[in-house]
Amino acid sequence: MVEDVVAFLDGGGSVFMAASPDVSAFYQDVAGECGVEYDAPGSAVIDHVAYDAKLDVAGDHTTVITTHVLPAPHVTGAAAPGDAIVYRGIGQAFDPSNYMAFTVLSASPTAYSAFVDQVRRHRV
Amino acid sequence: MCSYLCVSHGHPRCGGAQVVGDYPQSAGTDTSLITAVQLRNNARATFAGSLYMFSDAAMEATVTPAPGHDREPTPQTAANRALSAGIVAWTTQRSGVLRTTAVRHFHADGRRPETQAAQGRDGEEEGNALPRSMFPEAELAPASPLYCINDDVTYEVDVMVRGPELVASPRRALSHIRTPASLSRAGAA
Repeated sequence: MVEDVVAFLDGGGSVFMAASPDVSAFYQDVAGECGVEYDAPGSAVIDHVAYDAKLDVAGDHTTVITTHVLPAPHVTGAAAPGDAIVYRGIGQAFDPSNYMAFTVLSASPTAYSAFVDQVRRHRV
Repeated sequence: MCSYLCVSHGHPRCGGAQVVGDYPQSAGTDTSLITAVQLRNNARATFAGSLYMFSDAAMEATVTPAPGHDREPTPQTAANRALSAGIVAWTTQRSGVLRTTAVRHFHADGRRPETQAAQGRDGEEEGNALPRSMFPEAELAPASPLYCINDDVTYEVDVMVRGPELVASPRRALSHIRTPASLSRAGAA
């Protein structure tokens, strides 16, 4: 299965993949073939500062807002840096020395990626 | 009262109460939400970590920053729809694809280069005739144009960009093309 997708890429085809926090091993393997690593399944991008007050119905600050869009109209279309993007999901990482990979949308400086049930909040 | 992180000679502590053992997998802007890869054969792969951001609810949502955030509390429509359209267009090679056509080169003063066949035989008349070359193919080599080192050459190439209409000019795409300083950049549109 993974080999089929890799063969498709080797033949010049393009792949668009969207995953949810319970990302499967198949998705992780395909991304790994391109040098991109999904965070651990079950984890989520959390931001206690830049979250959406109305859309974050779970109350765990996983519905985050980010404005860090890649400044490249050929890639992002009409979305520009500074436009608000609402996101709820899992993060990715890649080796900085992988010059073929780049970030199209990154989280806010106050975001982090972790398991929701390991987050403890203290009232100040 | 405020939270603080202090590092003693032992473990880092948070608030003086618990030892920090687990660290987040990534933090801040190093956390990539959508990652794109362009492979050497120009195949493109995009990896997103959220199904929600491509949902109708997210595309039609009005962003409401949490209280205390430093953004102005003006309601703003989420740009998810625009970003989705843009990133899919890029992934499917409908945007951001370069093509070079109409390669032209000639001497800087406008002269066409000589071909190897027009050079004359080795050692005859002009004493500095270049030795014959069979590169790359013996049938084509006699028609190869010839330049010498220290010649001034003008090299022109048309670069076409397939991109979104809102890009004002292809010059921004051309800024990523590196050319040696000694080559003329005449013809860059």
